[in-house]
Amino acid sequence: MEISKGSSRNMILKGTQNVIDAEVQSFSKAQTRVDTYMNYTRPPLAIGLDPIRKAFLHSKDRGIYLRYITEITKENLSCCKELIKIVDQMRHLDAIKGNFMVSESEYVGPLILFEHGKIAPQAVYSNISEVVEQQQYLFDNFWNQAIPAEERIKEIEEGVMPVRTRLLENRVEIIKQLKHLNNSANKLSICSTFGGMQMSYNYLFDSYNNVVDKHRTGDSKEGMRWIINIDMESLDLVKIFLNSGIQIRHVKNIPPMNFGVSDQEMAVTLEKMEAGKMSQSFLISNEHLYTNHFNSLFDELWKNGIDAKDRIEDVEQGNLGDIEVIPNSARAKELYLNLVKSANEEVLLIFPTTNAFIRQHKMGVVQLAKEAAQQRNVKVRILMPKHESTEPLVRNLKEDTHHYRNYDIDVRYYIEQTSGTKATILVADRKHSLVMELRDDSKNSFDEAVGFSTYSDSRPGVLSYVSIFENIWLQTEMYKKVKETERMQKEFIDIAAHELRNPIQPILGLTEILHSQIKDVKQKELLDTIYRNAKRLNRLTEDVLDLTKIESQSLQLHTEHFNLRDMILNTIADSRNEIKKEYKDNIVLEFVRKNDIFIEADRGRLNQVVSNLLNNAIKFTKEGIIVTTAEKKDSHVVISVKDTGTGIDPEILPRLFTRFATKSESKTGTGLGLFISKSIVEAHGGRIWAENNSDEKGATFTFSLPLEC
Amino acid sequence: MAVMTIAKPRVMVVDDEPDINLTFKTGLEANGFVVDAFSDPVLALSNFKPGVYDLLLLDVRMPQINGFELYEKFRKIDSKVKACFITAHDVYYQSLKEIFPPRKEMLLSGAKGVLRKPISINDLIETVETFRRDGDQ
Repeated sequence: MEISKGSSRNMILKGTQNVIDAEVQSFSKAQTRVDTYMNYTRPPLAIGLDPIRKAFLHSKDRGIYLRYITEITKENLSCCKELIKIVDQMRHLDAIKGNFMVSESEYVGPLILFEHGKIAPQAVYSNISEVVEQQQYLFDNFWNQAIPAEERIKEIEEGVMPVRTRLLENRVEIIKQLKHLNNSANKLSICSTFGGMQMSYNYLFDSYNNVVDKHRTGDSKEGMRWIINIDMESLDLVKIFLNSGIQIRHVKNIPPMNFGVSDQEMAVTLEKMEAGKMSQSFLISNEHLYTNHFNSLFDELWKNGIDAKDRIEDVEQGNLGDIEVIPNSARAKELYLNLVKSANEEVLLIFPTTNAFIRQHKMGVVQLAKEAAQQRNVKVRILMPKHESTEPLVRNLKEDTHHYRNYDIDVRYYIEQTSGTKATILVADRKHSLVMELRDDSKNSFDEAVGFSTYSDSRPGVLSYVSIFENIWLQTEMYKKVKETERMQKEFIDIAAHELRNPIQPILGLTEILHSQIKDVKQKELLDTIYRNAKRLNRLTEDVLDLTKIESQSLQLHTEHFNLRDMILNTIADSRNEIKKEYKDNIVLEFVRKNDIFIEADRGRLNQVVSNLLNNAIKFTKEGIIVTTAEKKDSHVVISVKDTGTGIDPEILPRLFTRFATKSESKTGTGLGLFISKSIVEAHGGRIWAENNSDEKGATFTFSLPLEC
Repeated sequence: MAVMTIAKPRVMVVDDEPDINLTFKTGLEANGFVVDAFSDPVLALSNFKPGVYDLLLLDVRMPQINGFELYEKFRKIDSKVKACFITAHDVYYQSLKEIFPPRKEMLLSGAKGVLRKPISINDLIETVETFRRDGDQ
């Protein structure tokens, strides 16, 4: 049958000869190229059918460019190898269906009924340019998917899989390739969503037997492993997979893809395959780079996975608790706000620092907690360190707005160092806990200040945080009680000491009067003893009062401008009276460098210090000189009292200026004098120290003060 | 010839503790003062006569009436009478010390100062002498 020239049309050609003629004509009419797409049965015909082979050879001689796509198989291998010599380029494509050839002007599509070695009895013919162009487009697409024939031939002859990465978008092809992957695997690792597992169950379940069996017989060490998030939904299917010999581990956050990887190949899809629907596309590759990557990704997940049996037990008992580490502070913030917002019964909050409270108050957490209390009757308890800067915020938190009369919100202050917490802890409804680690307290924003966070809804974990909270809460209560007891004790001491002053007044005053009236020497001596002891009692009372002031940090200085020289001279004169009669002739009190030194300080208190040092020196000196010096050095004045007494016991030296640092054998003294002196000097911004004299016996006490405190 | 007699200075002491009254009274009398001492402020008030006392020594904390209130009552009888407060309590002592002498109105009113118990007799005499003369031309 002759196809007339010049007319554009579509035709159905009937009869084998007509089909052959049409093909041969197409070859001869072609000006530049002929592209042929044939299934695996056709290459033998191209070589074996004389007219066709000649048409190919003739075209080649005319310089027509020839391309040929077919599925190269073991059976047609020899023909393909011959054909390769004729055509310019040949490529292989798996599972070709249908046949056609297309030149720049004609399309011939033989309709084959899949009989080996037989030419088609019918063909579609067209020279309409739209049809030709469309078919050309189709061919080019196939061409791009196809692999070079040489690779495929090598694969068949040498059994070597060519290194390939393909994107499969055909359902049948995907299933075929996945089964191929599964069947040829010596180990198989799959990480999937529940949908992925459903899909596998629907289409691929049988193909896992190969690896499972190899594992059973010891031919495969790893066998078949599966990672999935096991929950109520996936539970039943997981059990079926487990029973078939597949090892399964639970991982909560699996990567957002489904993948399977064997020792040779990997397949991955980004689709979720919801309800077990087959994915529209799969990327399959046997490149080492990919298989290695996915194998190590899988191993990493597997290592951190939870054994399916344990997880199943938890799921069945309703212990669905999970712990999640959140490295991203923005995500933690979102979760934080949501947890407070959605709390229905209770919110427990521990703020690690004042700054943390301020930051999170700014972020709106505290306001959300207040709303939870007001609008949903949520019981809110907050633990935080006490600081004046947050007091208005806390007051505002407890204040009523007129709509909400009795809402339950309670704030307690804890002592920062005892809690030791360096994280904000939130427990919502005793079901969720969020611990946000403090990374840098100096930062203004939550995002910058917070490092890692840990979220948990695991019951034992959350309840542990509840107990930490309750413990600190209880501690604040006990601390309050202890403080109250301490305060009452101090108050008692204060009152008692003041009351002591009244009875001392008549003893001191009347002894003084009697002393001036009585002439009898013996009686005078007795009175001296009364007087000295009354003064000691007085000193003790004053010391105890000073101690309470120092300890309650209420020691106040009443500063004035005065001449230190005069004060020291007076003090020395007073101290002379303290020397016991029997030593009076042996002890000399000296004051050297009697320059004027004007100073801004508490005169009475400094008098107390100097007098204390002098009296100490007198107490421990039987004979010798007690030298007091006062010297101006830059902006300081240095005052020292040097004696020639027994010196300081080395045992006491390290705690000389602490409370009650006295040796039991020294009968007089409360052991408070030096402690009080130190406190007074330090309140002036100065310091005090003592040392044994290196060159001679005795000790030197020295203190330095700034000229203006 | 008329003999000029210099009247001895007269002081009233009010302290709810009789022993302290005794001490101050004895100490002051031994140093040439005439002293009326009362441990009951009400009794002190009823015995008070204007123009008689050179100085009042008043305890601050007493059961029925405190020293400041008592002084106000004395001043209603004798607006020019001078007083010096005595206390064993640091709180009163320190706050009074801050008032005396800077606050002029207190000075003009005749309140002269504050003493802290216990005080030695020597110091007491010295202070009372100073306050008694204070403001005298």
